[in-house]
Amino acid sequence: MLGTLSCENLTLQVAGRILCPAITFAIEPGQLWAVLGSNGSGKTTLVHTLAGLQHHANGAVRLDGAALASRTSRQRAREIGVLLQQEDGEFWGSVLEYVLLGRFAHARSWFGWRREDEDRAFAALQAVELTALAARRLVTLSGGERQRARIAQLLAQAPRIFLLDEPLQHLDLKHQARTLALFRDLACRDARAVAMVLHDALWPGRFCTHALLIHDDGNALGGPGPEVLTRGNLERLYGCRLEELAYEEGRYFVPNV
Amino acid sequence: MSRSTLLSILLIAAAGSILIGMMVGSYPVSPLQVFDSIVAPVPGAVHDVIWQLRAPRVLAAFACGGLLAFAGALLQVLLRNALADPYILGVSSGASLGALLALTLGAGVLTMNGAALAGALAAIVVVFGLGFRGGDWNVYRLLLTGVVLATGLSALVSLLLVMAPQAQIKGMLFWLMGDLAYAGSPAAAWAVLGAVLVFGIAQATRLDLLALGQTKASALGVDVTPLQAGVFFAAALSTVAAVMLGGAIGFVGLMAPHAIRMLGVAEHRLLLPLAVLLGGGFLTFADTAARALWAPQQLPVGVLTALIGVPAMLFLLGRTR
Repeated sequence: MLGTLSCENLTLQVAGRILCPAITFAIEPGQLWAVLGSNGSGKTTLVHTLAGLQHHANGAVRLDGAALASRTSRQRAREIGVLLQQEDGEFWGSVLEYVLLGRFAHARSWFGWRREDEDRAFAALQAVELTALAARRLVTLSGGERQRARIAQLLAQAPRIFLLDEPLQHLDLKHQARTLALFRDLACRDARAVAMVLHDALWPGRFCTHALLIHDDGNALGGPGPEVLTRGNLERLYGCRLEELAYEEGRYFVPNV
Repeated sequence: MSRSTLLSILLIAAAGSILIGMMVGSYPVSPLQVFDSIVAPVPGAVHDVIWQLRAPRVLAAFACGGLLAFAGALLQVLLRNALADPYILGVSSGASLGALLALTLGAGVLTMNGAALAGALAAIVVVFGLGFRGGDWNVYRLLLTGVVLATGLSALVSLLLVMAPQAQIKGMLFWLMGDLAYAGSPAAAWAVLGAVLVFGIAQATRLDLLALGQTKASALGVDVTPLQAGVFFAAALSTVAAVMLGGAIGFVGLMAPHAIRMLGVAEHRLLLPLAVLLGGGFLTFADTAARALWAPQQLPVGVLTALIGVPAMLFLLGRTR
């Protein structure tokens, strides 16, 4: 199916340490994957590797069956969008200018953005409820507002595959729910493929169709949400006791402290 | 302030600085005479003053200031460091060392310029070679390589200065303080300025993205390493062209891009040309003041750029939220 990102026997390495030996899985259109794991288990490295931003891995990452590395950065950015966990650069301009930069991979002109780019940027700002702040300088925004601006930039990029590294960081509860609903709609309604690193054992059960658990010992377990997100699996993943909550038809887990 | 207003003000100020530079001096010329000698040149004293004395100097000052501002803007993005200026990668120290070595060995002006050029290019090659070594390079290594090399070269320059005979010291100071009194023909500098500006505007959106960080730029579709190499060489070439005209003139390259950002323009498509106009106009104005204020004695323009620029920047800083 077009818009499928897959990896085969992918082994990640950071500073000489091997994380996740030989993961094989595929993110297909319509699927919303939760990537769970404890701190330092290699979630961010996996996101960067799947996005083609890092090349210290053995094994293959394929986009629609072809090696990801065979595409130019621009072609890749039209297909795969990444929400990074941190951005280390500075941006001196307005929120709208920032969101417009997401259109780079689609831009055709030397002389500014086209109408379509601006329309998409405004639509993206509307989707994250930042329209009123469009003219403000990005640096004057709060942490949560800035996170929404980054999500808006990703929406403006309009890729077929979304890789999100902690999309809920800095967001208040309302915006956490809206953000998850937004990406669920992108997956289920618009047939995009979405994978997100989460640190919460409640949201995945409600929103995600699939889950990938990355254990500290490097073993990974991936599959449909209901099969993977069991109490036993999550307790082993986080190394702590969990309580089960039943709500509507789902089962959810919170730490037992 | 709207962008078109800002652009108009800077265009008028730049043109004004050139006009004033043509008029002011020991032989005063009226604006009308400047205009006449451009539109309908008549051979004579006025014509000679304008075309043989003032125009080369004024155009050299403008190109020099524009190149420094451009190089500063690029390096601030490349090194992701607000304190980056055109000399941070050792280009001017290399040029100074080359020129001073040639001077010590008793070379003429032409050889000295050649030696300065060789010194600057050698510094660029060394910094690039060490900074970009291997596939996985980072901007901190590039920055530190440049700073370390510049420090070493400056030490050698100081050594030469201490050992040089008294008679040569004044000529040597030209390279160290920045002075346009000995500037040659500005034609080459203008050609470089035109070329790098076209490069900069063509890469403007990529530069906006690079400012967000390497990983982010790559995620949004930029081929980062070739862009960084291109930016490095464009900045280095601009600095060499400016240093060959006026030595190491401080302040312009560091502050002109910041001044434009403080006025609310951050996109490089507009930031680069505006910074060039501001840097060029500012240096032209400062150079005119340097030769007129204490005539017939000429002040080093590097001193004046700081004296005029510091209050202006402090005012802007106070105004910015």
